[in-house]
Amino acid sequence: MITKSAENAPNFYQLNNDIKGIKVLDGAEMMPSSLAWKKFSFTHELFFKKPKQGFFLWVKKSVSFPLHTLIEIDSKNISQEMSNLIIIEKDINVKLTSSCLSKKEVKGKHLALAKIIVKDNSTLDYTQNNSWKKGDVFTAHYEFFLNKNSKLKSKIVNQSDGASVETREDVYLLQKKANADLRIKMIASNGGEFFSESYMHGEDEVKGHLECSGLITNKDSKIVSIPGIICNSNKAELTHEASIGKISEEKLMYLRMRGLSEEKATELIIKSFLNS
Amino acid sequence: MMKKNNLLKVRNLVVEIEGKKILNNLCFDIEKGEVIALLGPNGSGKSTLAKVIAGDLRIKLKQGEVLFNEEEVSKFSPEKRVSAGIVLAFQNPPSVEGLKMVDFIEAIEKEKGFIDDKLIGREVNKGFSGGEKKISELMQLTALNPKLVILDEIDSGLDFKKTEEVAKIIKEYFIDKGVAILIITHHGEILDLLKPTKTNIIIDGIIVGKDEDYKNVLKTIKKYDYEKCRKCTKFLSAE
Repeated sequence: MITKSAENAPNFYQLNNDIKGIKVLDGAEMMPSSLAWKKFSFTHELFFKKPKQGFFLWVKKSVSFPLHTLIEIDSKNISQEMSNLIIIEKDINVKLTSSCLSKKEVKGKHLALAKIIVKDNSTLDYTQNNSWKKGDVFTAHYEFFLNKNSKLKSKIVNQSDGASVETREDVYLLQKKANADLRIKMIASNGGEFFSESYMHGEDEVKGHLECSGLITNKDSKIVSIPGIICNSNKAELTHEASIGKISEEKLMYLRMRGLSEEKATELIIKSFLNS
Repeated sequence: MMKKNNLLKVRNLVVEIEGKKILNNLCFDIEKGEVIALLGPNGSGKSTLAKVIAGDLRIKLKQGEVLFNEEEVSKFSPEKRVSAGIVLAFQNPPSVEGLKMVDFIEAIEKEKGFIDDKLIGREVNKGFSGGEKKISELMQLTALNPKLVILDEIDSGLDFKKTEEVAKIIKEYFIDKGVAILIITHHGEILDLLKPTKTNIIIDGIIVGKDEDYKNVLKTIKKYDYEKCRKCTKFLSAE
């Protein structure tokens, strides 16, 4: 097991189109995807295409501290094209948080293609935080592959403060006793727009739950959320639920009647939505 | 002119919801440190009155004024009323999933209040029983350093033991500190424990009677029902 304590620096950090840091891990490979393509020929079948940018994370031992990747844009007209590949080897537990965001209004473009493979008897606790601002275009496709008796617990949080966001997630529960719980949270504000498709595929005696919830904070914003379950086995147990709503006037008034300003109460409701 | 000890003075309140008068020219006073009870049948306007005083912006005041410490507060935002010292315990508070009580209390806290160790780590009102919701409300209100606490059905759905627990907190954190209390209730048990000095009857959005002896009021309601309270001569005269 990797027990080295984590420092604050992310394990992979990219700002605009430059890799600013990679923290080497004992028991895991972390490198730019382009390097992984050269170094490991088996990755050719796993990447969507020959990668230009992105990271390759190959975890071979359990990690006692959370891993973290961070991709940011802070300059105008930057276009990022990420191809990420994450492989969790057999019999290990990993906690990973990935964040992608624009630090200010820069009209950035961020395309993310990610493939995440969890092998037999392993558990991945995965949080993806995406936060994009006015004028940004964010497109992402995450694919999760779960093998025998593997477990995925994942929360994907997409915040659009005026950005155009198009995302798709596919979770493939491939083998017996694979288990996934995927929760997608969307917050659309300041004219932000979402088109989000999420699918859970069950192909054996597996269990999966998909939950998509959206919060629209003003009338100019829009969320389209399409959750789906696709079942190829009479042994699979798949469920999904979806909801989109505005900030509850009742909750807002409740918090204000505890002395919080409208702004602070709204902030707290959004924060609580993300935490729920 | 307001009396020297007058804390709250509401005058000629009119509230209409969907064309129906919920408060009908209602007048009502509370003095500093006073413990007052307000009784009335369902739909009589009790909760609406509570929300109007506490500043729920979803209820529009058609007419009237709310004076608190000699200041007209009916145009104040709810948060400004909390700053002035008016707080309300909700009859049915909403749950706020994802917000832990500990973080909520920290965000609103003006002074150290009552803390229930069993609730502090949980999300606000999520999955709370009726009794837990009441305790949660009191945890919040005791942290706000209020001058007037409005308790909307704080005893509804509670067994006697829980009512005693709720009353103990109210007594220790409010009554003993000279904080004025408005108890809106259907039941007698909590009045036995908090001993209001005045009890008012509200019917059809207006105070129709009041008495210094809450037992007398409860006895009369039991005997004649609310509808006959208007004609009840044992009460002090209505304003």
